[in-house]
Amino acid sequence: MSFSPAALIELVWRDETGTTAETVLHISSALDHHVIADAAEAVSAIMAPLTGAVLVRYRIKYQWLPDERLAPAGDTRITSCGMFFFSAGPSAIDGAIVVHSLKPDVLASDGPLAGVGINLADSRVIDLASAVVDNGVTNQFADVYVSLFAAYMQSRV
Amino acid sequence: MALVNLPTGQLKIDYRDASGSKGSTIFHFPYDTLASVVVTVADVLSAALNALTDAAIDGYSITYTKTEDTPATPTAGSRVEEKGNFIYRTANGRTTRFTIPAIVDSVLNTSGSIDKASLLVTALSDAIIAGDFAFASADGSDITALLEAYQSFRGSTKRQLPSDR
Repeated sequence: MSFSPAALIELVWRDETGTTAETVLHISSALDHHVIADAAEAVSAIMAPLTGAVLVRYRIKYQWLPDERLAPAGDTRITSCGMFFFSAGPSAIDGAIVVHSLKPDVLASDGPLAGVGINLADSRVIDLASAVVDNGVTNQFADVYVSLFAAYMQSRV
Repeated sequence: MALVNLPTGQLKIDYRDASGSKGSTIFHFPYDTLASVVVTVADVLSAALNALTDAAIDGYSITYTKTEDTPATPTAGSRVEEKGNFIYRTANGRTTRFTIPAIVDSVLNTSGSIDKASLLVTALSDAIIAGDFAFASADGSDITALLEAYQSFRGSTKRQLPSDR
């Protein structure tokens, strides 16, 4: 993956009708997001007298692009998803991670969940769960995942 | 009135299936985690995903968001369709641009160009070109001078039309 030399600052403005629109600026991606946040807030303060709209949020985005465009490994459609439910505590579902174009051979092949349940003993599933749990991935409320709770296939239109 | 960060930043891994359709997987991490740390984790997560998906990974992005907890009231009559376009020359001889929605009339000339000598505009350009922060073009080139500035209009969507029409 190649790191894009410029990070994006997306300033989101809202007008009197409630409609939003963005100002997109670029800034050196070598800066950490706290510094870029300072830049975003400084420049938005300078822009504020130039617009009748008001700032409602901003996003800072770093991007990586592949060095070469890879070919898909199989023909599973993007709508065939694996839903991986993670827990941040002892026994509750606290968030989900969706994997698109799930390889069919990761599904359970027997038992009541055959064809729907994801085989939690599959080494690829264990690797994903470890990658999530061992690296401090959280749900959107910053609750750190501690275990994979369940996983099923889901088709999305 | 303050800009408040969300509890987490977001790592989005994009991929594409054999038909060209696109999807993404989103992971969250504590807001204070630096992108340089998250990208190391992204490589690990991406490898794990790659073993589970038939799609090809097209890249990833890391996003941090702050929201205004008490937004101010927009100016009466302000419309984001009315854009101020600011086009800058860059050090590599190209141009870069951004727009400011709902540009105020006070900086417009009668032709629709923006008054580059306006104090509001010079303050903006000073911050963009020579301020404390390294604003750049998308390819990372330095921004060197304001080239053009003018008003333009984008078509209104149906939702933006007046409700009492």
